[in-house]
Amino acid sequence: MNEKPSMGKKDASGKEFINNLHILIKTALIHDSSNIAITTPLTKTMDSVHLLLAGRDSFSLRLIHDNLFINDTKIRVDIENFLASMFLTGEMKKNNTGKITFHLQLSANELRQFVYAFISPVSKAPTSNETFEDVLDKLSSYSIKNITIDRLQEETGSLGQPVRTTQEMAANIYFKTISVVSEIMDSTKLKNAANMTKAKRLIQSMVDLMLQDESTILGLTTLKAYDEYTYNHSVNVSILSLAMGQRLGYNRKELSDLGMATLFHDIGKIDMPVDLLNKPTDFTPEEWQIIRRHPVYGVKTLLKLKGLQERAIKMVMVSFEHHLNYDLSGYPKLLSPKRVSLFGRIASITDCYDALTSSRVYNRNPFLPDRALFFMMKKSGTAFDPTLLKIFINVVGIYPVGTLVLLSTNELGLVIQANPSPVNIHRPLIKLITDPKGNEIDGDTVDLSKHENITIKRSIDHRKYGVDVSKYFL
Amino acid sequence: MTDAKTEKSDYNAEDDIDRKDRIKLAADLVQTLSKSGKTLKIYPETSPVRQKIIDELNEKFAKFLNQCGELDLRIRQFEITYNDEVIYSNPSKEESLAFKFYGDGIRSIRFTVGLEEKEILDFIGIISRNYSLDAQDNDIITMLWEKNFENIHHTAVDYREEREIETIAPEDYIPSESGSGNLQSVFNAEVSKHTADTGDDGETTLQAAAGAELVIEAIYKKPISEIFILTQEEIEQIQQEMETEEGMDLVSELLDILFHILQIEKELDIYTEILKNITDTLKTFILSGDYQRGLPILTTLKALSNEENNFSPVHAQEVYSAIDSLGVEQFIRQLTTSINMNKLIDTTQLFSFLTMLNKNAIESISNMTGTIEQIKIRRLYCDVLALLARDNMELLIKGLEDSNWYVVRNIVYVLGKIGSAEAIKYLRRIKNHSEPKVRKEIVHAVSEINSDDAKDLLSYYLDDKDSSVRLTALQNIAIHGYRKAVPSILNIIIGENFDTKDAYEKKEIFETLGILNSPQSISYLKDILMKRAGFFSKARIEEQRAYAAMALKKMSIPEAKDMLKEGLSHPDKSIRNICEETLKYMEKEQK
Repeated sequence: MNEKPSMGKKDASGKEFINNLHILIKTALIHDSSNIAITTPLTKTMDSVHLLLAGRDSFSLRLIHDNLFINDTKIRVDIENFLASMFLTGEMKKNNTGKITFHLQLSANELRQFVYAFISPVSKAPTSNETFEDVLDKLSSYSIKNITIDRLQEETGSLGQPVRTTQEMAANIYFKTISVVSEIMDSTKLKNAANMTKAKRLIQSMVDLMLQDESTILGLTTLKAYDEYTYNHSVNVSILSLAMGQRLGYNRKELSDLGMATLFHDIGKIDMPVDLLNKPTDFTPEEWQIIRRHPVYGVKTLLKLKGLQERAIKMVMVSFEHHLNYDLSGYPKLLSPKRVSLFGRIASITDCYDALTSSRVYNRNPFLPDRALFFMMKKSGTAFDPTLLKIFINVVGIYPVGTLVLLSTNELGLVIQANPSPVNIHRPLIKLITDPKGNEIDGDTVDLSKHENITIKRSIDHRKYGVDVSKYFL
Repeated sequence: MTDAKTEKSDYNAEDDIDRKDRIKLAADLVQTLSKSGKTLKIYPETSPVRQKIIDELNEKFAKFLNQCGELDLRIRQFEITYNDEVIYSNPSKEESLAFKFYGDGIRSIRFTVGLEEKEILDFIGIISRNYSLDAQDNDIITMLWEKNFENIHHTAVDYREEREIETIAPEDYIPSESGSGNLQSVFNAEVSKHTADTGDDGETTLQAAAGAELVIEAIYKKPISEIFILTQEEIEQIQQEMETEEGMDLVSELLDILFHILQIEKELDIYTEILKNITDTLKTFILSGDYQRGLPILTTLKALSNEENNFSPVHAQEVYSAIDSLGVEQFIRQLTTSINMNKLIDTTQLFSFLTMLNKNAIESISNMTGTIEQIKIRRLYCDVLALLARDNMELLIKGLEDSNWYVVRNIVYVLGKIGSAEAIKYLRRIKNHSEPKVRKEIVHAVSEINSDDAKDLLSYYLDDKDSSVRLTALQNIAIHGYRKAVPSILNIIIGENFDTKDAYEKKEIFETLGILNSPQSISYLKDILMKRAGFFSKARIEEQRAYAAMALKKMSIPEAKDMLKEGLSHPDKSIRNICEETLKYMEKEQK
């Protein structure tokens, strides 16, 4: 039995606050404190402060590992608050501030003074401790008592490490989902009634986990099963798509629909000859012709499964569209133009990425994650929607989760989380797995954006050396 | 001992009263909750009764949560318990609230302090919906999950089974040859490789030298820190697309895909399957009166049923068969039922839809002409049949043998609308139909057909046993100026039964004779006009004389006037008078 967490309302008020504060600071950067233009954003920010203060004495805006939190609730970054989150993260870092606490007696005037104190040009070098002291002094000189700030904490390895229980839960859901996908696909192949509800419930759990802790579940996509490619791939595509959907700001229902649709994007493959799917050598052009039939076969299968309900239609859309390509240059080749849905465009990106990075019977030497991204970037605007591809890369980073890397310190590390800031996309969170002499260690987690002197020298094909990176995520 | 016992006893009693109170409150609350679903459905949102129910629920929840902290309910198959006491029980699978939750896998529901009216209303909305097994999109757990209540929590077991889903063990996913890998060997190889700064291609060399960012910067021609920041324009464009998709008509999207497949799919099995789905959707649209979306689909199918617009005659035939499925009696009957239930039908679009059907629809529609309730729609069905059966009249004829006279009447009407001489042979078969309304319709039908056979059949009904049929026949003979009917009319006048007819019919007979304006009638009219009345026959003779004069008034041939002039010198004064009056009338009319 599992109790469902509730996040909705708090998350919404937090996002509103972030957006309002962003506008307020931006306005303050342009106008002085007596300007009338500041009034509206100030009122709106005060309104959202009051909402967050309802029933409490105070609340805090916290910056942890480039993620913003309201108290202990992480603010979900999506398309709506993307710019606001990035801006506030930048401002807090600039002032070396890790926490801003708003107290019950806060007045609009105090908030106004705080904002101007916070944005005043600093004399010291950015991100030094002195900048924090400067702000602190200004707050004191303005007698601001109802907003307090705390210094940005030095982040230790433990901060970035996923909680074990979440990890276990994620793995449990992951493997259950693979089982259910295989069960449903097998039943469908045998023309038996398939129980989609099981899959739906697992996707709901996956969405809950994704909303709580994206990187843990994303880490599981490093699992690549050679023998169970189709099922494993289906789950990975679903997870990667959910992460993208989350960034786009889809609500729970939409995320659940996206998760289901992408989970069964390859259901048409059940009608492909098994010998062909398991062929150890390259496909002939004729065999490719057969493989390229699976989107249409998928439509046929899904129509039989579910009739005309909303979710089923979205599943049909993804099955049909996931190889069409953004510019319709893919397959099936259409005789007239068609708009590819967002779900379809998301699936085409996540499907391609997971396929390129997975071992398959006919592809024993898959791309390294970063190489797969280079390949995809070259097709931005043709095969892939350029904006969605950007969002995808924001989700996985340019060194995606699970990439084994050699650092400039000659240590080997594993990417465990993409950097949430697109500015530092090339500086992910790394778990050190060897020391500079090559000895295996259970090392710290290092945020490369905090250590500018450490860089990634290169990504390494872990498969070549028989290293299983997925064990770090299980 | 006594004190202790008293103390203990007092303590328990108090606790028990408290517990009993709480259970009573919880039971009352769940009962109210259970009833509210049904009641709230009945009343509109503005109803004061509805608001009263909501207020009552709010009050009960607030009271309970304030006093007891939270309401933690356990769900059994047909019972709900609170604090291990059954507070709700209903063994009916259809009505039991407990069974509704249990069947979906819910085992507990917890309401916590802070519960808001909106949450209560949403919750009631969820529990009062009708869930069917097929509607897998909307089971209770999914609805609760989507609502993401802050103060309503539930626990559930896996879908419709208590056992855990058998999972694939994680070990299966760890490549067997890998073990934990040899990081030292990775290190040795990769560090030396990097030191040597070699690569197997240009990209690797670039990467080896400076990491992935340079490769990406080369692709995008921008610094890495700028490449992946979404611009305001990109954000707005995606948001706009998301908004568009939110309001998207998913069924139309599905149809778009299905038609794209039809354009490219040559494999007949799939083609047929896709076609079936399109047709099923079309049927749904039509039955719900959504012709706006239905008609374009049928238009496209019609085009594809033409061999020239399809891959092969076989594919075109498949489409033709799909259209056939819309014309089968079962579907036309469903359509008729839905039309009978929905009085606000767009008749123009319904007409367009029905006239696009294949000829197999002819029999189905003709059978349904007796079932349709609205007269205007019945007429519409008949008009459709007249179009569909123009070249396939034989498909209509079966309806002429129908045991329901009204179906026969409708088919006769359609035959008349078609207006083909071919129809006469079929109409002759039923010319003596026992129902006068059918015979009357035959009269109308044959009037529409321009052939001698048709007119002969029309004359046949001058002697029908039903006066309304006879009158209709007379009127139609007059309208169409069918002079060939004159002998038949004259025979009626001189016949034995003429006197038994009512005055109106007699008048119609003579008037028709006058309109037909045939010289053949003159001598007969003269005989009637000039006939002198006997003592006993005076009234009858004078009545007939008046009718004859009336017929002559209508006539424009000179023989009529000549005959009246002749009457001016008749020895019988009354004959002279009537001839004079009639001539005066005719002259006046001429002027």
